[in-house]
Amino acid sequence: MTPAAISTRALTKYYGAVIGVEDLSLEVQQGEVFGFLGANGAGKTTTIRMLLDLVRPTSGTASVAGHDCQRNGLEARAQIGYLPGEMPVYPELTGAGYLSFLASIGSRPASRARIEFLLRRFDVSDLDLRRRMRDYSHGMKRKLGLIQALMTEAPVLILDEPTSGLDPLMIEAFGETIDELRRTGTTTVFMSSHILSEIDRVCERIGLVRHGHLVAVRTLAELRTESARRITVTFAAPVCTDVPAIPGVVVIARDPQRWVLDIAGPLGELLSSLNGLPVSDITMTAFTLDETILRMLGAESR
Amino acid sequence: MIALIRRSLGRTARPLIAVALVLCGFQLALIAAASSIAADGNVGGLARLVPGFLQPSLGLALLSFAGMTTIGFFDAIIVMLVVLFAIHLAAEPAGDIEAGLVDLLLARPLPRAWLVTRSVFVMMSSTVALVLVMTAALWVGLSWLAPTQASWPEPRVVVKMGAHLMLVAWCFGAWSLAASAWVRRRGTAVGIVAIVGVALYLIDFVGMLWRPLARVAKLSPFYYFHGGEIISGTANTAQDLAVLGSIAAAGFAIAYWRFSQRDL
Repeated sequence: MTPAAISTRALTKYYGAVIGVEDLSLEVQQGEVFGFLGANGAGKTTTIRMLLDLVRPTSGTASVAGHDCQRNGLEARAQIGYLPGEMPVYPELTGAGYLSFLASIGSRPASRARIEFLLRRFDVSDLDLRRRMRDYSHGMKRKLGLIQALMTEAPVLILDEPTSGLDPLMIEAFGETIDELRRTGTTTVFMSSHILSEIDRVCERIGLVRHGHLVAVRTLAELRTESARRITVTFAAPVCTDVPAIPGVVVIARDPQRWVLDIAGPLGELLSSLNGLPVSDITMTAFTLDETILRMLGAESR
Repeated sequence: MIALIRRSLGRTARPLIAVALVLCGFQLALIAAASSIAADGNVGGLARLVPGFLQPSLGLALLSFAGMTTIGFFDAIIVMLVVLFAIHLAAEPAGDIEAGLVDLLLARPLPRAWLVTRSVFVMMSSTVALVLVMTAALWVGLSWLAPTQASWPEPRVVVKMGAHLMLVAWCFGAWSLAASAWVRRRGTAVGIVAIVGVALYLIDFVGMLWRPLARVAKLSPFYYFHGGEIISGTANTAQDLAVLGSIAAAGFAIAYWRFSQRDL
């Protein structure tokens, strides 16, 4: 059986009295595009840095492609292409020199064709490559960061806030690249973000992390199914009946002419309860993924 | 490893060249000054002006043309310049952490110890290069500027001077590396070790003046590098170098251990 591309078991990191990550257990399967969501300081980067063995866990274990990140760190990291959240550079190097240096210290070769493809994809010209990195904009540094993470075609990509600082065209180029990787089925992408639209665009499954705790892991399809919808029931004649108590239904507003309800889960029971009432209209508005996730984080935190 | 070292040497090249030029310039100026004094027949006169407590070091050097031309290896400013340069180079791991470069490097399958080994190599080789350049400048300067009758310093003395200077620099480089394995900022590591270095220099200096401090002065690496003793042949070079080498080795060992344990 193929081991999970990324696996953590009760992973915990304390910084003195401060919780970095606590009891985080997670599995990401090979070929999956997994989004790791949370606010700033939620523990996303700490988790990533433990996967890279840059930070040592207080307890628990983490592995990449079946290799323990601490005990067999070299084997684990040989499987990884990584984009840091803050892109570090050697200011005195040119872009070409930077990519060449990073290619020379990895164990996986970066083919010329792959690098040229990525340079075209992220619109990095020869002129850009000849400039020293001290003259690069934030966005240009991020593009070089993405290229260095993708150039070795590592089986596991760990991307820390990959589209931060990119313009919309480059965000689209990034999305296309992830789509292509997904189609190959061999590359696993683990990306952290707090930009929900980006996660919605590229990820199949997400983990929500808050204050160092993994509060939920769902596929986007599950999230949409479970997500609350706002239903407005309008009556042709005044109705004095109470709103039936149905699990998952929250009454937002109620008067004899109109009920406004939020419902999570199947609609069947609610529709049955309306049978016999003078319903003139039913409108339904689905919450966006953003709203659903924010509500979920809020509910879990409560 | 070679790529790491090349990258690190690439960043070091400019400051290394600048320091080497300063040291070469000083060597040449010193030989020119010594030649002028020798031509005037004042060699030895300067030694009488040196206070008593400095006679064992500087006084002995000023007694001869050959001694004067070796001052470039043990003058306080020169020694501190070489030591501070070694401290700066060896603090590179903290600089990598501070700049976030460690994330980029160690996200690849590189052992952590390689970053320490790279900095050890760069610090040691740069120090060796400086000492070789100083020695070359000394011989070039002597060939070019020395009066024909003047006797040159014995190669044995120059080699010992260079070895002592190198080992003292390695001691502080090693402790800078150890400090950089603890802290997250290069400036912090450099600052701490530089201040300690100056303090230890002063302890050694005051130890020559004031007998009660003489015992404490043995804790200072500078205690094991007195140029006058090397010139006069009273230095126990093998023992001095062994002590300095041991201090450096301890610093390196601590750096390797701490860097392997820490969160980066």
